[in-house]
Amino acid sequence: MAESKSGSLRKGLNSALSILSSLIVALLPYVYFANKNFDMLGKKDLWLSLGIVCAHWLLVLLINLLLFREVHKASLATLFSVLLLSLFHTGLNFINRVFPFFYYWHGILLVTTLIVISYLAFHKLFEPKTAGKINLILGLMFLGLILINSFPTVIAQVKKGSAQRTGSVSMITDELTSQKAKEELNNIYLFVFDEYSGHEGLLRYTGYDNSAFYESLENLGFNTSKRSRTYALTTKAEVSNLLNLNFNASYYTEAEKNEILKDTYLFKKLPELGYDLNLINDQGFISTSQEKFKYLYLPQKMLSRQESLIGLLMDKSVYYPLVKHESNARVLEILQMFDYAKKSSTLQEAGLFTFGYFMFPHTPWVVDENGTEINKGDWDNWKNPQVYLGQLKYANKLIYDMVETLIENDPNSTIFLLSDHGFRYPTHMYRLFGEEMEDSDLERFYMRNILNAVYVSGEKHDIEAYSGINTVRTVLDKMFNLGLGLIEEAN
Amino acid sequence: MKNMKILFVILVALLWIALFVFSTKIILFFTGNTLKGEQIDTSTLSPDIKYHIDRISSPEGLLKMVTIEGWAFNVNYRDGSERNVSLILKGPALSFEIPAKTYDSNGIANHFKDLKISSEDLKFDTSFSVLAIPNGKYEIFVKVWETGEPFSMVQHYKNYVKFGNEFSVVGE
Repeated sequence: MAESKSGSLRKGLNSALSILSSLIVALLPYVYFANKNFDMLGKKDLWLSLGIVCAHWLLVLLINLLLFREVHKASLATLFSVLLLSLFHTGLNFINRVFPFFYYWHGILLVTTLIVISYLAFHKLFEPKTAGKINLILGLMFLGLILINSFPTVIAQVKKGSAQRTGSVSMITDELTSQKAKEELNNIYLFVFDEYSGHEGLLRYTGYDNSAFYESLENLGFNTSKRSRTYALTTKAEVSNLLNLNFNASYYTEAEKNEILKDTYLFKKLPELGYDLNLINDQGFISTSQEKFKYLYLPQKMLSRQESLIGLLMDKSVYYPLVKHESNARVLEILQMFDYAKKSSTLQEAGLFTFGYFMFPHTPWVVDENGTEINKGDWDNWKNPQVYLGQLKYANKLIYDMVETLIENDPNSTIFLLSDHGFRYPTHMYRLFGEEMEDSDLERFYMRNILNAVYVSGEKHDIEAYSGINTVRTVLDKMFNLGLGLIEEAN
Repeated sequence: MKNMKILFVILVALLWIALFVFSTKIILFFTGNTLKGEQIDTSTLSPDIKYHIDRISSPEGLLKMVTIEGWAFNVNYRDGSERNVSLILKGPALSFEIPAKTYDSNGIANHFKDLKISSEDLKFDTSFSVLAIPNGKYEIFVKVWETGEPFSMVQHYKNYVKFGNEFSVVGE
């Protein structure tokens, strides 16, 4: 009697382990993408996505239980089919690289066939015990993968938690000690517009003469330079360079760039001078720890292409045709960032350094020059430079509107308008379509041509042909007599 | 019995291969996106057509649909007539005619108020799947007509090339 009881207990435990294994396998894509985008996800998004992933798994499991009428085989079939369904689009993209004429319906036909054949094999060839063992092995393997994948996120969250606890104390102290000096510190705004081409580059790649925009800025009291160049062609290198006021990051590895972004010269020096920090962090690109900032704006906490984790997971799965790419959400993000930038001029009368990173007019190109949303097919259309130009012209309008408000609210401020690099048309045409550059040095010269304009309380300040970094150095020297001087130009 | 089984497996395999190879054509047929290639005479162009193509999108979606939007009319249109627009893609061997849906537009009628054109059916939009046309260079013609009257056409100044899943302007 006792033996049969323990036997049925063991049987029940084995069945539970089989089911649990299939759930673990089903959760791997969720865990992977959640970890990858953890800083940009809200709790609601995480729980909702988890619920949907589990519901999907349960539905497949129930169907398989009806088909097989046996737990181990049903779990194995669930594990197999959920994995195929979850990563369908990823696999399709992979096959598409080799066979461009392999479409969704080909994938459906192939996956259906695979599922049917595997189900027949599970039914005919596998004993329930064997299926249970396979489930257990796969479950353990995937659990290992989940743990390995989650480890860095957990560590980062623990570190963040302890830093926040100590950070809040030091911030209060800072505020008390430097309050008096702050009143005399003019607000500083430094905005970086990703992929905003300088005048020469724009003329070369789109044929557009952007002089009118420069003139309108000059009429507001800006100093501009059409010949400015950046040192690197990647955002991570150049933003790191800019925040450290040198060009060392151009030679660093990706990991080193990430590391130096965490602790940069400007985010150290300006608080030392008595400034509070305000950050507009599009796409969570700036990895400096959040406790350094008194004010922080992370637009909508959204992911770069998909607007929620469940959207991202669906986009990787067999259900991707059902995903609606809400370009509207990105347009909204952009408008909200500009709105917040304008409001930054009302946060403090003085002593505020606002740093804004805008992944704009960078891809995705979602609007035309009038701010009207464009077709999703053109979001990454590098072949037609006019699509980029449309978004850049709209950026002109938003930038002008923003600086006009800033100057109106804060006429004694300093406002930098920079870009990290220009329009990288030739490198993308090479990368995406294999179009060789006749003279890569010459193209790099134009691709490194950037937006560079500065308003220094309406005063004249010559920045002609300066890099963005040298513009910032000379202006800070003018404001605080820091003796930074010029560094070698990016020619 | 064994032979029958083998024959059945071979038949299923052949059917599967046929389905796989022709699935794109089958999908185009069932979604109503098949385009019939034909010889269309585009040699006679009319100077009386005013038109503009506002947008030719990149191929998008499962069926790689290209959307074309714009406006077109013949200056000799009669008031109150029913007007039609279609686009002709003239390829290296065959041409494809794509009927467009028309809309009224007071804005365009106002813009051309000197021509005293009424606002009916001036704007158009249409879409087609690039999977339905063969690779090659395409000239685009805008064909307009009043129901029951002969048509007239004009050639768009840009040519397009279809290659694989791409449909892009020649030279860009």
